[in-house]
Amino acid sequence: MHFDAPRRVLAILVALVIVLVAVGALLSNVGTTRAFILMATTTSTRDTGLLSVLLPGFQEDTGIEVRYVAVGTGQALDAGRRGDVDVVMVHAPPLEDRFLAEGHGVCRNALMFNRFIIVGPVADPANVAAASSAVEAFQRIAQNQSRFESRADNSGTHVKELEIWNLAGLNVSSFGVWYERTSQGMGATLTIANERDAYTLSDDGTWFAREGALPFLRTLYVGSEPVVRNDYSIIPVNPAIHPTIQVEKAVAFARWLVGVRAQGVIASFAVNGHRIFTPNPGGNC
Amino acid sequence: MAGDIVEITLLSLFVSGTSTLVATAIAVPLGIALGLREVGSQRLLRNILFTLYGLPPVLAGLLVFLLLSRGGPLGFLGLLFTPLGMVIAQVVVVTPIVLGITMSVVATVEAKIKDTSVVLGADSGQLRATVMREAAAGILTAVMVGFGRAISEVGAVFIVGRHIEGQTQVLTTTIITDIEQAAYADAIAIGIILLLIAGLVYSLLYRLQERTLQ
Repeated sequence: MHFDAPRRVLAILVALVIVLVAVGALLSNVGTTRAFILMATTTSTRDTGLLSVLLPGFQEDTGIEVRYVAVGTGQALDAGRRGDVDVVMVHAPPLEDRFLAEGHGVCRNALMFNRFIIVGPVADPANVAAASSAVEAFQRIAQNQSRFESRADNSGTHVKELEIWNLAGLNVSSFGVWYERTSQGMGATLTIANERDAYTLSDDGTWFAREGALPFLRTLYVGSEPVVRNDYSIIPVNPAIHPTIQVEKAVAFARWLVGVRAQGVIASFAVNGHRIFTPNPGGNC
Repeated sequence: MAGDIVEITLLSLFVSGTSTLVATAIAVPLGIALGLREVGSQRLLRNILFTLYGLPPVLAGLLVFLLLSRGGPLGFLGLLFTPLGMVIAQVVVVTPIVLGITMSVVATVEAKIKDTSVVLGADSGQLRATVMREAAAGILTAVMVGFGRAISEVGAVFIVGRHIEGQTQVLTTTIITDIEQAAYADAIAIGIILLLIAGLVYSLLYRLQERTLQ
């Protein structure tokens, strides 16, 4: 008799667990063909708000929903390698080349580009504002040993930052304590730079989206040389390696993005009054 | 903030509630058995258990991520970046906590009443029943602490869920991404919701506990 109460409780508990797990399975689309595709993309496309205007248009035209995780480019490509996503939207051509060479992508479409800019403390101790190129700006920062926040997360912006240091003839591994590594996204890194009076490399889109909350930073270098160009691409993941990839829908998405409607959205997209993306359709998808 | 606040709150409650219940179903029976020393090789089991007791949620997240990734052993289930995947990660976090507390409570109660009960002529079945009745309030505390850990936990759900809009956004991950986007007012609002939920659940369970004690 004493055992009845605990047993009843246990039975109720088990029944509840079964019901809840079933609900979870339903929410998680277990055992069904997904009606949506999953994309890994970079934080900048989310943080600027571009995806919120782009994705509904694709769903309207094709009925396909795109869900996304926003991570750094390195992590996005890794999600593709693992087969955890159907398509990646990234901005690090060298990393993309390797991804494609390894056979993880079926094709690549170019979408658009924006600019990398250098922001830093309002007082500008390294006098970056006087630099005539991004390379010279980085040299000034290193010479003055002014604090610099590196994304250090293998993102497209981080890859670009390393490329500029390299062009400047400098090796980041030789830098002192002034060179700080955040290992975080662009927004978080800008916030850190703002708090710590540091310089950093940012894409202009994220900067325009956030500058209102970054009173201690200002834009110090905006250039148009090729090295500060930030090219975005879309790559559907190869289903030959991971059969669960919804490659037709992913390729349809890649093609739609270079079409008239998407490119029009990209061209007119503005963040706080600044148009940031230049349409640049192309590729082999 | 991107995403619907009601949906986010409901998903938080669902994920943490379900994982706490699953953890309870596993940990309470096992914790009682261990507490009453009904299972062999106690010392080893306890050592493993108390190591897991301090399992960092991020480590649980990493393990479940590698397990559920399509390249991983359970990848065929397609559970990465889904609510069910998040439940699994939190079960890993919560189970050792509920198990550890249940075990301690049961062992303490048993030690306290064993002699008296046996002197009064109780057989092992009666002793077990008495212990469980006396330990009920403590076990409820174990479940409370487990849920508190789950609802406020961010590392595991972020790694396994990745905060997909309309799919795997929960309150804690929304606070993180709101802060990243400098949306501090939204982050504070969600923090208040989180606090209200914790307060509500705890006061409810506290009342249950008081009733059990009477």
